[in-house]
Amino acid sequence: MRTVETPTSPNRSWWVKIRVDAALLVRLVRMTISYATAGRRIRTLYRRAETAGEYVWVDDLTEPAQRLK
Amino acid sequence: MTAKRIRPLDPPEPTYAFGYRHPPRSGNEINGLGETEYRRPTQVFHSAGADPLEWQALDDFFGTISPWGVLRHVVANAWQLRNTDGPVSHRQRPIEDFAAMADEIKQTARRFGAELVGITRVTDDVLFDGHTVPYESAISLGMSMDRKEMAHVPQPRAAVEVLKVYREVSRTAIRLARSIRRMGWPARAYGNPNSTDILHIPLAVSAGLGQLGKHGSTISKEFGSNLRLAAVLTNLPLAIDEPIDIGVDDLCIKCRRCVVDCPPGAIFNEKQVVRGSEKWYVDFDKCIPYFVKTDGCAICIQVCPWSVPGRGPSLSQQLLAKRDR
Repeated sequence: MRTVETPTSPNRSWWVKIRVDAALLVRLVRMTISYATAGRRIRTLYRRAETAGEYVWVDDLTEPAQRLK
Repeated sequence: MTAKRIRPLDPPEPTYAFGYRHPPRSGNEINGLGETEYRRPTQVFHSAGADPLEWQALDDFFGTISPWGVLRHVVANAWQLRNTDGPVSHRQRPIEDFAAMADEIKQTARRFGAELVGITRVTDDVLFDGHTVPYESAISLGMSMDRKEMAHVPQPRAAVEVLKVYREVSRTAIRLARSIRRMGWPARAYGNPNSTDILHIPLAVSAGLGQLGKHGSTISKEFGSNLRLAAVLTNLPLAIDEPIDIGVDDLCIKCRRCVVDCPPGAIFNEKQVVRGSEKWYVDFDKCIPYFVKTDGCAICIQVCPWSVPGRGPSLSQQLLAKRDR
């Protein structure tokens, strides 16, 4: 799983920091929601494939999985 | 603490219900297995950058199928890592005695929770290709994992412990970087689990935290491989530590524990030539699918004889004495 890195500037002003932190917070909330929704669908598909002896193709799942970043 | 060697019971078979419709380039090829010329390493799997990597789809899939216990640590870690960098005090503390400063930094790191601390120079070997950092020194930090929790490898419970310790050691790095910036010197924390610009294992080896083991991870005298790493990069003038020799190669050459216990058979029994130097290397293409299937595996580092609590110092003493005979 990818860590979300914030653009950092050593001496950025407080309001820039608040904006960057807010953007990160929104991103993390969206990531958590995607894990619970799109991620759940992917996990279900994967478990079914495991049971049935079939495959899921990770490159097909890239688009929904990328929402977890 | 379990003072015994861990033997994983019934690890899952290395068969997979996931695959690539369009397989990526071999990770071993990207890593430079068999290449005799030196070059800097290339990112393959984990990254924090915006550029998609060759094995990105599998990394995304790995994140998606990870249990919630892992995800919550990843989210919390990402949130705390917003403080990796920050304002540097305008009043710079003059440093005359680099060795005394290094001792002070190590004490501070230990006070913040680090169990292992070492200092080294930032060289090309610890930076991925295409990455640069405006820092000269690196403080490598190590923190041990709970052996009772890690006895559950390769189950999700162990994965949660790994992420928990990554979060703790990252927090230590963030606090240490902040305390250096308060002295008026630039410093930035590099927290894991995802590699950013730097490679933590070569950094830890160079900083004297341990040696590279057959399973491709750092082996320390104090905790074996049962540890997680983070780092602080800085321009604070510091005396550097030398790499250590605790006898890891002496044992790894004969020991086959991790080779035998690795379910996908990813660990080479001999050193390999990788990007111009001979070193221990793990077959990426065999290791990573199993790593994904088992939420991070970690069998090799737990079965390692060095990871048995309290065994490292005596083992090192025996191995070094044997060499002298």
